[in-house]
Amino acid sequence: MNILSLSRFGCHWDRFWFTPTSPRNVAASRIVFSVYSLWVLASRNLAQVSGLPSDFWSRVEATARWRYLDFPEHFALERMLVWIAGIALVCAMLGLLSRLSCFVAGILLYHLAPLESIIWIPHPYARGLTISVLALLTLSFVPSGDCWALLPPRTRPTRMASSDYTWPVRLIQVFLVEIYLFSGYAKIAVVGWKWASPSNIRNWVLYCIEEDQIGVFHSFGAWIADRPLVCVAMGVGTLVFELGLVAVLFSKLARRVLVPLVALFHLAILLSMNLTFLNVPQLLVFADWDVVTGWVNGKASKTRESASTSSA
Amino acid sequence: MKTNIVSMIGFLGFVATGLLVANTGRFFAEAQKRRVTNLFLAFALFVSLTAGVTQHNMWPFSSWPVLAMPMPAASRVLPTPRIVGVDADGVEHGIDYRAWQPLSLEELNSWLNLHFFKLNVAAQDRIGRYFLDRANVAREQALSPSGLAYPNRWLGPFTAPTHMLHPAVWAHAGNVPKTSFVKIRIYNESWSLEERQHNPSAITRVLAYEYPHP
Repeated sequence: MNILSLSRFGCHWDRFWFTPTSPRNVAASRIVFSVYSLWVLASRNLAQVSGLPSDFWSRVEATARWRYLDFPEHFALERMLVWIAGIALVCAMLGLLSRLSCFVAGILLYHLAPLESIIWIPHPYARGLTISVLALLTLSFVPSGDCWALLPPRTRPTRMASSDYTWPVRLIQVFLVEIYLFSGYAKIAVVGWKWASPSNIRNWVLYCIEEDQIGVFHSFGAWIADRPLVCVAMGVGTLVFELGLVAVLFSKLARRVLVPLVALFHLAILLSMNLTFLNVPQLLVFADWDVVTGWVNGKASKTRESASTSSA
Repeated sequence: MKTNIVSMIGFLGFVATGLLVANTGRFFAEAQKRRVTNLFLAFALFVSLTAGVTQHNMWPFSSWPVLAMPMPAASRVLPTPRIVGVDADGVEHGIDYRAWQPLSLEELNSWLNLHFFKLNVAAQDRIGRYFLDRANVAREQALSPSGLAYPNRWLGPFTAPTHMLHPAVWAHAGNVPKTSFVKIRIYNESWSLEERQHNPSAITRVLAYEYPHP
């Protein structure tokens, strides 16, 4: 059989997106993204950007303003929208009107997140809310409140496996993997393979530790910069890791090994280059929450058993 | 401009097809519902892959060009701006990154590099005045018992950090200038990475702007 035949592709497509799963993973995604987004939203003063002197906004293209409906001198309105987004995220977290709250939060974050950088660049990637917008909107299109919700919908039988619970989680995982895939691809497309050269890596590390307006951690970066072999390993390792992470979409083993390594990867970057990557908690969407729940329940029942034995 | 328009169309398409998926359950049979879901997934993949492959940032479908440029050994091509406050004795002081809220230091420095020096003198001076006021307000807050606030006072040190870490130079009241700033200066700094590794003070500083003007 032709491996590229349409029917074969269709089978793979269906298996990837539509294998029925329990509602736990999609509910966990809802909780992870709402808690995380609330944390980032509460950590920024996005509304105040609208209240900056208008000269800051003078070089912002009209299309960028209209694209996000972000305009200067609307501080009070923006502050109200931040509060509405915050309330929607709390509702999403608790599972109150999950679809509506995820949708409101996703749309408002699309409007609010660009305020962080709009005065010089209209696409605020790597600032923490990029995947949140896509994930919350995706979750608003599906019944993510069928499980782990204070107010589950009455119309739907809960706890039954369904493909409706699978594809949204898969899509969010794809968006997360694209961060690394495109990041690796961009390095090769813009700089070429020499991006991984020891001199380039060394220069990046040195810049990040010498620029004293950035530098918080110095010693690990200096240690790396003094060792060309470590620099080349870091460069090649970064490209291999970023391009290879796509494997976690298709292999359970890759997921178990590589996803924890992503967290270590970002810790190493933080300590050596003073660069943070806030999305790390979002990697929890790669966990199998049925297994986690089973493990927690098992532990709880064991604890109850041992408590009843000791009291007897 | 084109990227802004195309990106907006991509986002609206994502939302529109998603809403179609959300509402098909009520009106269509399972097979048709699956078809609409496939359409949504194909659309989301198409837009996100287009952004990545073409390296056109169509946020929130981002091209993620993280560190995707070569770093020259001497960072003289794109100097790094630094705003300093000057007290009545003419002594220059560094300013804590939290003074510039709601802007983070990396957004502010990028804006300075790209746009500030293209503004007319009157606009530059309005911004200069704003910087001077912000720096003095932050200095007073830093000297107060509660200290200079994080962007979110409740979260405090648990506030989500920005992409680049910045040292909180006014974390201790002892490091905060005791008298008001009377002037703001913006320097463009550049240095050779090699030289500065051995001598941290080996920096070339060029005065790019001063408010009030001398």
